[in-house]
Amino acid sequence: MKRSLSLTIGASLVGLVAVLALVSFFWMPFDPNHVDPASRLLPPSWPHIMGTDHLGLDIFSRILAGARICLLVGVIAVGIGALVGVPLGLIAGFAKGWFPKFVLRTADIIYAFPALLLAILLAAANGHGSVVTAMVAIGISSVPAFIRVARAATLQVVNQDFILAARTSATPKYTIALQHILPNIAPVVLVQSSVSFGLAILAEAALSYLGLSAPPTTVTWGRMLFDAQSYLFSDANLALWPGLFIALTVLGCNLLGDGLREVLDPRLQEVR
Amino acid sequence: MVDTARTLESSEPQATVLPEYRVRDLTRLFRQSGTGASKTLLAVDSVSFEVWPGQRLGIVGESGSGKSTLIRMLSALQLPSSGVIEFRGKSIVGLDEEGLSELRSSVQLVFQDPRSSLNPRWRVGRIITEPLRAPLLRRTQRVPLSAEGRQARMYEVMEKMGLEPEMAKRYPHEFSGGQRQRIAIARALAPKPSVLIADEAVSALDVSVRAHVLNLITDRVRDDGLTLLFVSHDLSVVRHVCDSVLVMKSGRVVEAGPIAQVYTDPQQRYTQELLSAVPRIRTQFD
Repeated sequence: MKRSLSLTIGASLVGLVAVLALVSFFWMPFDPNHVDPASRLLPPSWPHIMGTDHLGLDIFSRILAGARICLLVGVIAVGIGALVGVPLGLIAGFAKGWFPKFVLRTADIIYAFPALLLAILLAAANGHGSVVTAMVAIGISSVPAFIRVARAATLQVVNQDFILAARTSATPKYTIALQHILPNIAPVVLVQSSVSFGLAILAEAALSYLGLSAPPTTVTWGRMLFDAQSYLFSDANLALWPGLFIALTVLGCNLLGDGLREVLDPRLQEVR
Repeated sequence: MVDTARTLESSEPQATVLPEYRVRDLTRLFRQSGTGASKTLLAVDSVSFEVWPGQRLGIVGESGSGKSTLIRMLSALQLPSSGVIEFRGKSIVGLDEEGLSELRSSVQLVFQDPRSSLNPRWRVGRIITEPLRAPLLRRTQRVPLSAEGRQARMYEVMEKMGLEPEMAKRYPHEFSGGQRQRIAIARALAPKPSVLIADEAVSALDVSVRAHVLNLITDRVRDDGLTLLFVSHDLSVVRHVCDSVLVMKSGRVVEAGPIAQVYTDPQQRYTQELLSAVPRIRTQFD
């Protein structure tokens, strides 16, 4: 396997967030929702290593707890996007007739709606915003990217002679799609997944900030940012930590995507 | 080599023998949708010929002369615009896969570029046995139905192509061009076809490897009594492998006949030019 600096850094950053989320299930220094007026707005110090916010909540504990929602949203949104987008994109690249056109035009229409608008729509339909409406909204809006990427990769694969060879021995279409095309477009889909993962986390943070995602009792990095904005000039510490972790996670996802692209590119693989 | 005596000049064969292929007025148009008026390209233009069992027919012509389009129509990968293709007396134009079962179980292709014709994510063993796992071919009972039978057939064709059994576990990118082409030929031979179509099968190979692969092909064609359609732009290769030849230019057949006749006494200017081995720069054509 080829070495890639982007891959190493990206995987480490994403891995760090995953570790934070895992740790939060077993151990947190404080209850992330325990209000303690006596120790509000403390700077980073022991035992509050990242300080406390305006309600005296321990910021480090809240960062740990927030990592869970962050990853959950990323996984579910990318899951929806890939599970819906990849089959549609593959069929759109492989099939003939009206169906591919229909899929592509529909993807264009969805593409025109920002995730934010979709989330507001779903939240309105649902009565109130929740993590689920946020994940579904982000998931749906990531579908068109998966359709396009999967279709473009499929178009490259279907012109190769091994598809013709499969057809000369009457290999059924679904076997060609699942066994020939899918493994060959998997690297591209993986790269897209990691990029979409970063975008989903960013979108969720924005939705939390707007109050369209989790309820106030659920800790998310976006909501922490929202709570911090009244103290931005007096206690920047409150905004610094969630902002930093959102940025690092999204950066990690993008680097991971770039690194995967470098490592998995079949043209580069051919040379080794 | 008994059947190979029946070549193009035998226009009146015994009534009992059906040609493998009978092609009449085969035409294929491509629409080129550019800016403004859409142009049409005649890739194959009113081509007619027969291929008899055991015949080794070379199809030659410069690139763009319609060779590839022709054989793709013969193997039902592309539909003709008009004309008749009969395989063993039955038309194959516009049939669904079920209707093509006779053709699919009897005709196999070898492609030009073995990098593109082998799935890079499959192991060699899986690549070679792919035709043996196709449901349609299994229904025709021509291929072994058990896993052991498939395995045995795989090792059989690998040995015929000079491939080591342990190579079945490896991936295509671990092999050289010549080895890959032998893998592609092994796959084509696995379902025991009666017609082998080779599309520039040795053109992408080094000269040193080319002769080896060519000899393997001619051995198989001779020993298994295959009918061969050998597409090439290289006339010396065709002379080595084939007993008759079809010369194509701009989608038309300009000359056809037994190798000896066409090579010693070419009737067409175009064939004469193709035959003059040394490439040279001309100021104008014809």
